[in-house]
Amino acid sequence: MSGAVVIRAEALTKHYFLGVRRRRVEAVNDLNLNVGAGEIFAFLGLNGAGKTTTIKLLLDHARPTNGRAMLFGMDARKPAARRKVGYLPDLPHFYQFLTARELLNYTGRLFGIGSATREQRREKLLHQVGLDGRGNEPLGGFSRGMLQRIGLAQALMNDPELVILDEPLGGLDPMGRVDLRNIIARLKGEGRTVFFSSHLLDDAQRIADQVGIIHQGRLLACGALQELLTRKTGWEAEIAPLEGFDIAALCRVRGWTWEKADGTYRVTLPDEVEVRELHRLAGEGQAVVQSLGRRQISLEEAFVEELERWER
Amino acid sequence: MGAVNRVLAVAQTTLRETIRNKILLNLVGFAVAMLGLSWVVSNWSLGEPGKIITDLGLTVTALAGVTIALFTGIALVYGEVERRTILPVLAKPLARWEFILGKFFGFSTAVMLVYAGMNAALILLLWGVGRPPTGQLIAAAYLSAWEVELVVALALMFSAFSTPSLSALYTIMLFVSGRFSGDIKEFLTQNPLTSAKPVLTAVYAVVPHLSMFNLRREAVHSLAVGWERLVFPTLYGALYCLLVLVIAALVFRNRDLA
Repeated sequence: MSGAVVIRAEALTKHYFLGVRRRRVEAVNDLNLNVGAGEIFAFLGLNGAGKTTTIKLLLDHARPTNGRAMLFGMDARKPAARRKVGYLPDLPHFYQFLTARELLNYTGRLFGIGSATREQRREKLLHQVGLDGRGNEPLGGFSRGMLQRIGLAQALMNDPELVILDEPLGGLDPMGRVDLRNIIARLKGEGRTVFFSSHLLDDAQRIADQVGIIHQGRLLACGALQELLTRKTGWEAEIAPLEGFDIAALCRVRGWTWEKADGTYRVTLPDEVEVRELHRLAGEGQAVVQSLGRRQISLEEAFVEELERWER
Repeated sequence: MGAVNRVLAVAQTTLRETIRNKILLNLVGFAVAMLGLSWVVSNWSLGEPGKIITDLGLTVTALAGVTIALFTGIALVYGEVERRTILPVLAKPLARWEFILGKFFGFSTAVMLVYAGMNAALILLLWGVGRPPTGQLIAAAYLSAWEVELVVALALMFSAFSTPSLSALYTIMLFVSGRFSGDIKEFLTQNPLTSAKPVLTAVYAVVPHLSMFNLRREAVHSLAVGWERLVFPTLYGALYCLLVLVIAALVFRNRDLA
């Protein structure tokens, strides 16, 4: 499966018409997206950016106004396209009179899983999400965290190749978030593709290897996380100048930013030309370069930068 | 076989959810209390107790069946969309029409189980006053069950695209006009030149002909019932339900889930 495209969106557009005056709301606009097999793709955006609508279009919960969505090369509107998909909705709600076991059984039956396999997976998943002792309790009595866990179990019932999680980290306590991050990492380790939406950038940065930033229904940036964090951010070096050498003056002249720490200077260089200048200084013996590397910003900084660029 | 299994899975879950709902139990309790009341009334009246219990009992069971079908059915699909329980279900390889069909079968089964239970209580009550159940009583209960089925289908159809209050309004309107369908036909026969003929003909064609499902008089007075009085309404009821479900599936097919 490696290298295959699991999710493809082609000019995907969804407009809603609200109220008596049929006011048009552009929830998703001309979205083009490819998610490859085995990736952890974080779909990031503010509240109301179009994340959940995109997921709805992928799962045929809503019909596109234009364009199309495909799962495993099949039109997403066909039920068969969801055969290898597991899905956990945002704030999951399930039938309150069903027990956890009954819900997993029901899910298994909808996927056409035989009773022996169903039972085996059900018990395994209940154990994995830490609900083995609660399997016969009605879901109406479950807490939010427990619903999230049983939701995850039902999303994995069909042993899916693609797992779509809508805001899975929202509303979880710190331990719950750590658990979920570990589960997502494990899913990747098992060769599954994970597509999740979030506005929690710190968590997304820890687990994602691909990201897409959506804002006002438009995809502003999409690609490898590392590329996004190092793109146009310059270089960072730690320099120890020789005695008498005025590094601060040089920084001012060259337009470098610097900060002093314990006899060394942490310097930010805007581009490769300045990196060459640094190498020249080192070559002339005026300073010792202790470290040099691409400057990396946080996902939050990259996200804000993309949004500001869009607003301009 | 895949589609059949999926429809059955939805039906079984719907049945479980409906049966475990306390609102249903309250309605059943109310209906049983009303049956008890018919026994009290029969003791106070001058008429034959068996006939009074049959008449009141059939009315109560039919009304209770329709009430349960109406007030639970109108939220069947709408409630799932509102509570968002439908999202994980329709993320499975399940077609929308399979979901509608499963909902119908599951809910119908639940309502029919309740309806059968109420009729069993009626039969026991009749036995208690020394009037064993007649074939006409069984036939009347059977046709009344079809009337309830039609209400289930209509309520489900409306719940696929409108709010519970509007669904209730539409279903009640169709139910009431359906009960008077015989009168509409009678009026058109006696007044063939009326200016309202096109409207009334259209109304008569659309509304369910519920008057054909009423055998209460035959059951009370033990009048003979020909086989055609059972077969034709059965076929009509099945076809009407099928048509309503097809419309429900078509409407629901393109609906965005909020």
